[in-house]
Amino acid sequence: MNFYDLANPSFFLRLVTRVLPWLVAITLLLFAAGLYLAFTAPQDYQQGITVRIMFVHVPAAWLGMFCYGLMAIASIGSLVWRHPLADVSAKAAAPLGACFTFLALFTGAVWGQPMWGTWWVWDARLTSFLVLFIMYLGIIALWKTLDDPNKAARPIAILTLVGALNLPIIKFSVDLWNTLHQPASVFRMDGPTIHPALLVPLLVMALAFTFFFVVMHLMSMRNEIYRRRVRAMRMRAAAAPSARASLAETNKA
Amino acid sequence: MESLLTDLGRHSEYVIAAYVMTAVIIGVMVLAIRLDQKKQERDLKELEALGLRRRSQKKD
Amino acid sequence: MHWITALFLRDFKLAVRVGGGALIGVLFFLAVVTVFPFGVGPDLKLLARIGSAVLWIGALLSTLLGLDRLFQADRDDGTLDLYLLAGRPMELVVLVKCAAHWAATGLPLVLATPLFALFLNLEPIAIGAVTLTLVIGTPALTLIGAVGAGVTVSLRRGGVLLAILVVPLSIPVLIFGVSSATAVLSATASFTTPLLYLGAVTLFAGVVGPVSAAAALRYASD
Repeated sequence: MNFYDLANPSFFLRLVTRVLPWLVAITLLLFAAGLYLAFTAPQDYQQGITVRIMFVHVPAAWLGMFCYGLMAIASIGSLVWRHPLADVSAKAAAPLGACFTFLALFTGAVWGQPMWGTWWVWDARLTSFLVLFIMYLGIIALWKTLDDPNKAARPIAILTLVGALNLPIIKFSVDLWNTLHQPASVFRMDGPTIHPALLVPLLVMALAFTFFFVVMHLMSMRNEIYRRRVRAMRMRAAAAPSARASLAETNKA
Repeated sequence: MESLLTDLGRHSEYVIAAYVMTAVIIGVMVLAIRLDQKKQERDLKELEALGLRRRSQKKD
Repeated sequence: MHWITALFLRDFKLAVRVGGGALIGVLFFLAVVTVFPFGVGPDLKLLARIGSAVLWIGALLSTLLGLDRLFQADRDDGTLDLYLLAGRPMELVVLVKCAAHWAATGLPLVLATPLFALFLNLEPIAIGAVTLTLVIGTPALTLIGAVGAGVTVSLRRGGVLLAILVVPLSIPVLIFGVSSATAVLSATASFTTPLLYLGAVTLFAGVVGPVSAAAALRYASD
């Protein structure tokens, strides 16, 4: 087995079928352990019960960013090597990233309300995540609008990479904007430093989310490969209707 | 379950909301991908039943 | 005539002549500025305070409105393929096209700004500041918009999607532009710091915009 075997879609499909059950089992175990640890962990003396939101908020935020990083790497793959599997990977990751980013925004809001008394602040971190969410939606909309997936991949890859350049600039500019507009910051967004008793469940949950993402991503990539095969076969059938008819005849015979 | 309930004190509704939304999002992701998979597999079977093959596919 | 001059003049003339639609942007700008006081109320003090931001948002929206014309016509009639066949560096072609587009759509916005600022009760120094930041900032909007225009060039009706794709990328320009423009009204905030960052973003966009847009256009043609 070498790199080129791995890059072959058929080989990739066989690999997915083989490893998927194991990954699903690991994900379920990690979620069970993570949830158990999350609800038996001691309460934070400052945050009380709401600290438990952190166990889903931080992993969701981590995957929201990780997923964009993955898309950026896949985009380089489809621009440099023009490999269809890189296109498939980038396309399959976008909706997943949007889901995790939405989840991070939602859990952040329900964490913020009891902690700081507001659902939303225009803080650098929250604002960058909102922008990240909009970028995911834009990329998904573009995938849906450009109908030929082979032609769509490279322009979208360029957009993804420009977005990756943009995110740190947004983070920086919103930080500056905040120092200009908020005379005295009411909120300390970093939160208290994490106690080790809370760190272990957090890490287990983060790992569970990551494995869940890998499972979803592989399944979604498989769907995308199937979708392209269906598309290619339909186009061949449309190009040669007589051949299709004769093939159907021979099949009957 | 009882110990869990007594454990949930002030602000528990926010924690429940966060976990419920997490469950919903995870559920939606799994369901959407499974449904998509079913659809693609059905389409592939249909096309193969018509006798269509991909260029790279071997005759069996 | 050098080909760069020729290209610039061609694009500029096409944009400002009948059917080019360059001046629609200024009208839209006027519409946005007019509509704002109806939303927030006719309080002149409030308008003076938020006027610079209103002008910036109006300029951003007007720029977004005209972006789909940046490459669309050239792709439809095959001119884009000719540029590629002629072996001209596509990055430079994009840069020149952006310059012509800005001269036809962005510059009128900047020129109209001092006039529209009067509606919003801006002080003279604030008028000067917002005009200066728009001179520096609107080229960045066009250059960043070129990426979106290049990516969506093969779409029939990509205008709205193009705007959605470009808005997240243009947030830093808006932040630095408005921060600088409103700083002149405040005793403590610095005017030059965000202005210099705005200049940096424009220069950065001057590199990233043409390079990515050119790459997208090359892929769109094959």
